[in-house]
Amino acid sequence: MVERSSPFAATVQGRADGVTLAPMARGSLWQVAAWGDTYAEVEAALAKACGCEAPAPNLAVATKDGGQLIRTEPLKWWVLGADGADCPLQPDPADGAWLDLGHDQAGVTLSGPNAAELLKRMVSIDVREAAFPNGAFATTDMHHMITRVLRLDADGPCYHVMVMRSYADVLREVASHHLAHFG
Amino acid sequence: MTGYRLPQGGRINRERSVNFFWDGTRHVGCQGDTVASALMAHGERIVGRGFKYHRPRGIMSAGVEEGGAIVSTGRGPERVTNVKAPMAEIREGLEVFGQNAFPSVRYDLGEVNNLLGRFFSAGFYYKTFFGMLGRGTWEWMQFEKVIRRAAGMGRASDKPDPDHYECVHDHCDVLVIGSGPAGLAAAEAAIAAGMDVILAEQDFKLGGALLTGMAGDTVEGQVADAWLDAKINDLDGKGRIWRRTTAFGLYDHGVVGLLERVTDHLADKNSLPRERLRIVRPGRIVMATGAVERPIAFGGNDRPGVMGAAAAAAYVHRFAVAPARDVIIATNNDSGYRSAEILGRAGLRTILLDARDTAPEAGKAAAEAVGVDVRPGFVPVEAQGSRGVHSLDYGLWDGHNAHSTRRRGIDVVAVSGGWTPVMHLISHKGIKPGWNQELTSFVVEDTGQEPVEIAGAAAGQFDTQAAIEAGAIAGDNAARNLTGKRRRKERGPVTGWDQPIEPVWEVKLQDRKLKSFVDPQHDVTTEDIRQAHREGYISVEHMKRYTTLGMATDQGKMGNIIGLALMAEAAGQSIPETGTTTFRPPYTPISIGAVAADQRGKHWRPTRHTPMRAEHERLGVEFVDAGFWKRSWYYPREGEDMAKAAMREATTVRSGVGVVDVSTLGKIMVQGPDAAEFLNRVYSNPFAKLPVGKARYGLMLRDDGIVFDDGTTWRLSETDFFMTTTTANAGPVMVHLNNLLQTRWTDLKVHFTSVSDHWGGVAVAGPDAREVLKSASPDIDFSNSAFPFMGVRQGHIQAGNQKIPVMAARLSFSGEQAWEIMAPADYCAAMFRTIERHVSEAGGAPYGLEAMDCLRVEKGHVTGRELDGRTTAHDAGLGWMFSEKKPYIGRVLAGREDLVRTDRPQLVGLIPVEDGKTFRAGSILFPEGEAQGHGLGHVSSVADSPTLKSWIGLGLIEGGLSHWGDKTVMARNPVDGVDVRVKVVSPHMYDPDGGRMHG
Repeated sequence: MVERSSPFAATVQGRADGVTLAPMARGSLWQVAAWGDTYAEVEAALAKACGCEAPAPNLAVATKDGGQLIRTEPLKWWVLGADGADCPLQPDPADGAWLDLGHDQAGVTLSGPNAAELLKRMVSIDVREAAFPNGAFATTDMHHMITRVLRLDADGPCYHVMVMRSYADVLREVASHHLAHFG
Repeated sequence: MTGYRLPQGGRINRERSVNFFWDGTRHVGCQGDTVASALMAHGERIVGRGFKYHRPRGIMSAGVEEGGAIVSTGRGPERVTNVKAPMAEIREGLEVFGQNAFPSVRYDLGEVNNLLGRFFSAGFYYKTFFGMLGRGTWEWMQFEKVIRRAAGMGRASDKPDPDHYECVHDHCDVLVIGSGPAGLAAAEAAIAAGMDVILAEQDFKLGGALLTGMAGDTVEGQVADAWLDAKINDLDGKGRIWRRTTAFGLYDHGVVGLLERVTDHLADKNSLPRERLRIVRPGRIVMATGAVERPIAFGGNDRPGVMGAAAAAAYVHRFAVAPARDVIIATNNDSGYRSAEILGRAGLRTILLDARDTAPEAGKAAAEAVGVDVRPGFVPVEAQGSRGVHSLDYGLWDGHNAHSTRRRGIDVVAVSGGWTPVMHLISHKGIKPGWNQELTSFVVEDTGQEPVEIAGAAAGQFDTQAAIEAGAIAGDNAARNLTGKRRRKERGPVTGWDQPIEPVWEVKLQDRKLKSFVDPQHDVTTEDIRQAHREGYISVEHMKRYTTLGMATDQGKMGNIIGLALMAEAAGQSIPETGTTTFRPPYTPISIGAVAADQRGKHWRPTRHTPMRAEHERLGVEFVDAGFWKRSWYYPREGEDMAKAAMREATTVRSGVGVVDVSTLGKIMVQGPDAAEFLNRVYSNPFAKLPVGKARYGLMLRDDGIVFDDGTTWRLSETDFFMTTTTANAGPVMVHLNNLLQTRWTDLKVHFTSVSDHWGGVAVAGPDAREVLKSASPDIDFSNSAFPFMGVRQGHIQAGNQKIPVMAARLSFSGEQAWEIMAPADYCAAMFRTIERHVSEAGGAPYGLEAMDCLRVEKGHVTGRELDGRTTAHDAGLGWMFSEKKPYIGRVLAGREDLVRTDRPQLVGLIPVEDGKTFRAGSILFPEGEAQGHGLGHVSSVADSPTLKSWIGLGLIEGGLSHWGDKTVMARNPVDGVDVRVKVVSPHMYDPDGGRMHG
C-alpha cells in the first residue's frame, strides 16, 4: 500500500510554557454501530473483541492492542488503533454496522500542565479535572468545525483534538496561534 | 492650587516612577497610578470636552462611570478611543491624548458650540431630519457632512489593528463579580463550601470600597488595609482571581461575558494578547458589583473641578493625590461625611454642605475632629469658573429651591447625591428592579429564575459589616443551590443610612435658570429632560432615546436616576410610576478586536482543503473559494489568463482526457437493513431495487415539493450505500436525513455517517478516459461491457510498485465518457499524481472548476445556480424522475397547482443571435421590444463554449422551450442596462442523445 500522506500542509510542532503541540499519529479508526434492540449484544461483543470493558458514554478505555474504544454516540463506538488494524467487530447487518473512518479525521495533541489552558482557547467544553478526566471524550465545535476531544494522559495531561481532515490546517494554525501566547 | 501628590499614604509604589505623555508632554507618575490620578497629581484640570457643547471637562469620578475624563491612548493603528482615564493604568511610555477637541482639549475651537447651545437641545438631530421649512431631506443633506464630522467621540484608526486578542472559555461553580467586602466574603464562603470559584474584579487591585477608604478605617476589628490583605492571602491559591477583568454582560443560561485587559498596563507585551474575552459558564453567580455615587444637578456642575465626593476621597486614600487644597463637599446622605473625613485627615481645607437640616452625629463628630467645617441645610447652587472651578455659589435648601446664596472661593466641589446600586448585569436579562424610597434608588429584590445572588452595595447594603455578612450568605446560598440543599439563608435587608437621605435631584433658583447637567458624557441637561417631556416623550424609554441620556458607554451610570426623577416631576408622577430604562450590554466598552479574537483575517472563517492540495499547487493551480472550500479553479500555463486556461482545459476534455478534483462533493454512508427503503422514501425516483454494484442519479425534494439536492448514490452491498451530494448541500442533506430518521421513520434501522473527508475523489473525463484508466488501474476492467454506464467497481490504482485502494463509478457531469474514482483521503495525493501523469502522457490535462462549469452548461446539467430553492423538478426538466409508484418526500406538494403550471419558468439553453455577443448571468429575459417589469425569467449560468464556438447560457423562462423554442428574446443586464438578443434553444446543447457519455 502506498504511504499515507499527512493532512497538514506544514509541520505540527511547538513547545511553550507548560504545553507541547504535536501531530496525532495516523492510525486506524473504525466505527461500529448497533440498533436500538441490539445495543447490548453489540456492546458486549465489541468489548470482548477489543479485550476491554465497555466504556460509558463519552469515555474511552484502552483495548488489548493498545488502542482505544470510545463510546461516541448512544448507538456508536469508535475504535482507534494502529495503522492497518482491522475492525475488531464486523457485526451482521441485522445487528449493526461497521465503517472505516481511518482517513476522516486529522488531529493534534496538546500535552503538559498548561494543555487544558490552551484547550480552553479552542473549544467551549468544561475541561476541568472533575468534568473531563483522563479517558474523557467529547464532541464539540471549534470555529464552525465539528471537533472531537479525547483526553489520554501520558506523563501528565494530554488532549487529542480532532477535526475533519479538510480542516487540518485550520486546526494546526489555531493551535499554533494560541501556543504562541504561552511564551 | 489644584492637584498635588500627598507626602504619604496611598496604595502606590513611590519607588517606581513611570513616565507617560499627556498630549505630547512628559509626565511622571507612580506605579499604581491611573491616568486620572497621575494627571490630577500634575494639576491637569481640563482632560476632556463635552460631546455637543465642547465645554471643558475634568476628572469627575474614580471609576468606570467617568463622564468627563474620557481620553484616547496610543498612536496610529494602536490608538484606542473613549478610554476612561480613572480605569487606565499608566505604563512606561504610554501616550494619552485628549479627544473630541481641536487643536486640544485645553483650547478647543469647538467650544463655539456652547454659544449655540439653544440649537443643540434635545431632539436636535430629529428636528434636522424634519427640517424647519418642511424640506427635511433637503435640509438634512445640507447639514449632514458637518454633523457627521462633528459627531462621535474620539477618532478610531482606520488602519488594521496590530494587536491580537484571544477568546477563552471557562467554567466554575461560583463566579463572584466584584472584590469589595461583599465579593471577598462571598468568594470565601463559596470556597469554604467546596466550590470552584472565580473572583473577577474590573480594577487592577482587589478591594472595591476598601481601596477608596469608603468602607471605613476598620473592618471586623482590624485595620481595613490589613483585613483586605489577609482576605486576599486567604483566597490566594484556593480560587481563580482575575484582576483587570470586567463582567460586561449576562446572557442566557447564566453565561457571562468578561473582558480581561492583559497588556494595556505593560510596557513590554511580549507575546501576550492585548485583551482576552472570557466566556464563563458558572453554576451560580454572585453579583457584588457595588454602587455608583450619584451627582446632583446644579449650575455649572460639569465644570472641571466638580467631581464625586467618594471619588475625591478615593484619590486621596488610594492614590495619595489631593484634588485641591480647598474643597467643598456637598452631600444629601451620610457617605459625604466619610469622604469629608478622609479629605480633612489629609490636610485639605474642607467644607461640608449637607442638604439635610441635621447632620448625623457620628459622622459630624468624625469630620469635625479632622477640621471639616460642617454646614447643614445647604446645597450647591452654581460652580463658577469657565476653565475650572474657582468658586461656588451655595445656598439654603428648602426642599425645592435654593435661596440666600453666598459665594466661596474653592478649587473642587465634591458631590454626593446618593448611591445607585450597580445592577446592570441582571438588567441585561430583563429583570426589573423596584424602587426603594429609603435609599432613593432602584434595587433588585428578586432575581427570578436567573442563577444570580446579589450582595453588598449592589443590593443596597451600604454598611460594610452588613455587606460582608450579605456576601457570605450569597456565597453560601450559591453553594447550597449547586449542592441541592433546599434551605437558603435570607440575604438581609437594605441597610440605608443612619440619617435618612434627602432627595435632591436638581438645585434650582426661583429667579433664573441654571445650566445643569444630568449626563455630562452626552451633554444632556435638566432642561433637555423637561423639553423632551413637553414635546410628548412621556415614556422613559422614548425620553432616553430623544435626549441620549445614559446611552452608549455610559449606560445610565451617572445621570439615570436624576433623569428619571426629573421626568417624573415633569409628568407629575412618582419615580416608580415613571419606571426605569433597561441597561444593555456591554456594561463598559469592549474592543471589537476582542469579540473577533483569533477569528479575523485569514481565519475569519475556516478554510477547507482537499487531500490533493499539494498536487494542485505543484501544477500551479489558482484556487477559488466555494463555501469554506478552496477549489481548483484553473491551471494557467504561460501567457494564459483564467478564460484562456479554462477554454484550453475544456477543449482538452472534449478532445482527449482531463482529470478534475471532485473531493468537495458531500459523501454520506447510509447503512443498515432498511437503508434501501429509506433512500426510496427520500428520493423522488426508485432506489429500492438498485442492484449492488450500480449507481443511480437521485433527486431529493423538500417537503414543499421544491428541489432540494441531487447526486448519485452507489450501492456497495445489500445494506451499504455511498451517497454523494452537492458540495454546498453536504451539511444540510445530512441534517435532513437525520431529521427524517429521528422524527418520522424511527422504526427504520439506518445509520448515516459523513464520510466526506474520509474519501477524496477525481473525475477522469473525455474520449481517452478509458485508456488512461486502464493503464492507471490494471485490476479494473473498464470496458463498456464490464463497466457499463452507472456501474460501480472496486479495485486499485497502481502507483509504481504500490497500490491505492479505490472505488470507481462510471458517471459523467461533463457529458463525456467519464469515471469518478474515490480513494481514502491520505492516498488521494498519490492517486491524483498517478492519474495526472497518465492523463498528461495521453495528451490530456487537469481541469478546474471553470472548465467543469463550461462543460456542464454545454451539456445542460443543472447546479445550485438553477436549483436555487424556487425550482421544481419540472422546471429543471427533471420531471421524469418522479416515480408514480411510491410515496416520497415532497411528492404531494410537488403536485400543487401552482407548481405544475406549464407557464412556470423552465430550463432552457440560450445562444446569442449575433456572433461574438456575450451576456451575463443574472440578466433578465424580456420579449423583444418589451423590456419592462420583472420579465419572463433570467439567465442562470453562462459559458464561453469551445465546442459550440459561441457564448452560451442556461436560464429559466416562463413556458420554457415549448413556448419559446427557437424564438428570440432580450437578455438585459440589470446593472448596465445592456441588451443582447438571444435565441432560446434546448438546454442540452451538446450531445443531446448522450452517445459520447455512454460510448
